[in-house]
Amino acid sequence: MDVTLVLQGLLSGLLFGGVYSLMAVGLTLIFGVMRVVNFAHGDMMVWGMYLAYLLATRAGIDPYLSFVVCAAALFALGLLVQRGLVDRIIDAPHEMQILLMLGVALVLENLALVAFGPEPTRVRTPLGAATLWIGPVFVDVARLVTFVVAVALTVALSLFLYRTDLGRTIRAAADNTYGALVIGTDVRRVYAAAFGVGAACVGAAGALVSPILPFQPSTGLSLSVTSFNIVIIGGMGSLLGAFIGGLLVSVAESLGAVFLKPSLKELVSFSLLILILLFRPAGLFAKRTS
Amino acid sequence: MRWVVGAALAVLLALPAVLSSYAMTIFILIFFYAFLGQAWNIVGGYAGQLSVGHAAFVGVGGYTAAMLSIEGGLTPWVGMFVGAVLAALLGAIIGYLGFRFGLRGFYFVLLTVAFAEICRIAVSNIDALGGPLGLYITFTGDPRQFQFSDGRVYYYVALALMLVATATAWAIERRRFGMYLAAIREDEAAAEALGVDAFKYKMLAMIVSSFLTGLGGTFYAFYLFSLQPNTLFGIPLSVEIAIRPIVGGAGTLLGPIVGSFILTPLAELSRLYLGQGGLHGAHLIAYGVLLIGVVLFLPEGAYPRLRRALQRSRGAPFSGNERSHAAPVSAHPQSEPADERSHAAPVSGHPQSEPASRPPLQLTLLVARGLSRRFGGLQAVAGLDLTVQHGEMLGLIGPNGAGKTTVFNLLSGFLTPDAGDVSFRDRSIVGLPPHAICRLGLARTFQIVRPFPRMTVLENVRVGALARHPQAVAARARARDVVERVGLGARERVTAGALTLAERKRLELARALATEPSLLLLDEVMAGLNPTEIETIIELIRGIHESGVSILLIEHNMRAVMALSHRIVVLSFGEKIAEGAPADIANHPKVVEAYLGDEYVRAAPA
Repeated sequence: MDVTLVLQGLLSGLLFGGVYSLMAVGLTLIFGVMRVVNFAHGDMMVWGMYLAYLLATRAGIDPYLSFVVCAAALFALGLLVQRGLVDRIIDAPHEMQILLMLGVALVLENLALVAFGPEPTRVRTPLGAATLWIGPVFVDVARLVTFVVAVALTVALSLFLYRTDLGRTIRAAADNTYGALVIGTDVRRVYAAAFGVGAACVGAAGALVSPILPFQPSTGLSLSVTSFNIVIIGGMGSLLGAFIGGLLVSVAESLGAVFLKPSLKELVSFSLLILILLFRPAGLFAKRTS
Repeated sequence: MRWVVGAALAVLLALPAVLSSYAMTIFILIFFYAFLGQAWNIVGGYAGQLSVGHAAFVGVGGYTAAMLSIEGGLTPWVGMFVGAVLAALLGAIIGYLGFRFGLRGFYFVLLTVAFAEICRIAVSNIDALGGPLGLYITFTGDPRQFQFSDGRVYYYVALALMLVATATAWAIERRRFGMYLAAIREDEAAAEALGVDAFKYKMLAMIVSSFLTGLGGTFYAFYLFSLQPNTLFGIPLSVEIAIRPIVGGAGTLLGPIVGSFILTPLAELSRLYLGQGGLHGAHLIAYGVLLIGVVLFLPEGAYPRLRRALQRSRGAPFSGNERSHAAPVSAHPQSEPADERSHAAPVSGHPQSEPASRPPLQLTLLVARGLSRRFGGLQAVAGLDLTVQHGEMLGLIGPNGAGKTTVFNLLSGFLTPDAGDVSFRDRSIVGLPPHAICRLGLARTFQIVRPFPRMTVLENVRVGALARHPQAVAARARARDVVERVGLGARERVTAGALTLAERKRLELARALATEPSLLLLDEVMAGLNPTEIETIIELIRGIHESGVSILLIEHNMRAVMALSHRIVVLSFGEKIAEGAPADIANHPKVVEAYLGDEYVRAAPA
């Protein structure tokens, strides 16, 4: 086995992992606050990608700038889905919630199919062709920028959750909804904010990944499933777990592609998932609860 | 009801004579998806273990039959059963991992998704199975090869599959198996406490469900003549399988069929009309919107709603669960003569199955020695010795947090002790699961009552009665006795979720009693009741005790516990601080101290 190849796999996996982390942080935030699993997570992300695509092709805005717009748009979409739909079934049995979100996923995926067709596409950016060499391995500049921005956004989100009043309220409601209600929190507003922010995460992640990952409407499902894997591996509801889990899964898949073959890379993350489910179902970074 | 079923069947049998070939295709798909939904419903609906990985069983079944036919020349009529067995094996593996490791809800969903995806990726990478392009079956039109030139044959085969699965579900629903699955879905811990081996029954449900689904794989393969890993193992197919029973009504017999009759034509027609205009995916948007609508406006599914509407129009008197319609026992004379029952009035007085009525060979019924259990930094129970004599009524009291409920959990198998031993009727029961302990004759109630909310009072109690009377009819008669005994006779058809607290407490008692225990652990059955209700329940407990059941009672109501108990054990911070007759306990300085603090003891004149 070529050491360079392994190093290369490690590095590109790590760099790609920033996007996985951002995506999983969004999912775990929504779950942590509402105990609702957003089955439309990947499809929302695909909409972030297509939005970046539209802004790049129609208005000539680079995805590394337009991710802000995409995040805002997805925030609005998340808010809408939460207020219009999720809010009504917040106390329903989980199979009903899963079903509702599957419905949302179907609608989002197929709206994209109707609007953009089934062909894979990708967003071009001047950074796309640039590479850097660090010793024997090369760094794809687009991947590097994507990684840096994604990690910066994750850090910003943590600061928001830990340093601002709304952020603290969100964490309080996630810890104990009833307690938050008792002390006069407007829990509905918190839910809407959490869903909006969670969706904004994939809006940004989608735009950031659009230059390096070819996508089509059906990409959403596999992204959703990957997000689920990551949050289970990291620990449902744990921000740190989602962040590290994202990097871990990405590196594992990347190495899987090197050691096995590219079409088998998902096998690695699913096997990892099953091991975690069986032996550490609370995840690697589970929050300690009494 | 029989008339309706017969008429519907006759119509379906005659239909091919008038159907166009396109309409026939739609009907074939309706039956096929109803069949898959029916199979899914056994584990996803009745047992409440949501699977979004059933496509894996279709894939394993289909690929097996196709490979055996292509490579080995084995007729699919045999191959379909080989495939189904392999699918059941996969189901058993998934079930074993999921249930043994206690995965529930979303976690179980993900386990099923993960297995299906692993199968899909693996099959796509195995060249012998055709890789990502899959397998193609050449059309010969030979019926021995499961191929028919006449579309009507497919119609009848699909109809037969649907009927077989429905009959299977019907048979399960009427038996103990079905009652147990419903109890597990409603509250697994409560079911365990009533003698239900939840793991075993969930495994059985998974195996039956995956076997049937595997059979369907062969039909799928030989109806479409092609198998691709992405369609046969993919998540979209798993969703299609699960959606119909949920839309129709999960855990109901006709739900999967109703769901398929609603969704399949909708999917096919919108695919035809919207897809033709170049709007690929438009039909799936409609589908998604419908799903959202069902969740928001018809959350229990279409079939239960339909059934209620029909009953209302016919003026049926009660809206009970259909299981309770199956054989209205009140009309059956098979229950034992009333005089015999009133003779043996005490509920546990059935001579053939009541251990307590035998002359006791040993005087002590239950012995716990050095029982200890720690939770993190908290020593909840520390070296507790406890004995319950045959025929005794023992009170267990202590301030909040003293560890009383933990003791119950240790005795009934819900927790295993860190140290110490428990023997019940001269047999060590440490490490036995709750359902096994219940079957040995040690039953418990829960402090916070845990009824099966969507089942009726009678059904709740039947689950308990089935522990001693595996036959559904006998269990029903037994349950009815117990329900009468605790004074819930007038409420037996009410769903447990609609009961008042006092009624729920009595239901909790009735369920435990129906398992015919020789020792009954009662955890605060009086908490939250008013004085009148407490009087009633004290009388009830006395009656149960007089019928030969020994009782261990946790109670905060001092007057009741003093009046009822022969002997009292006092627990404080996990340790036994006093033991003795009620009168001695009431004045025991350590007890007073534990309840009121040592300052009170010092201040009070001894």
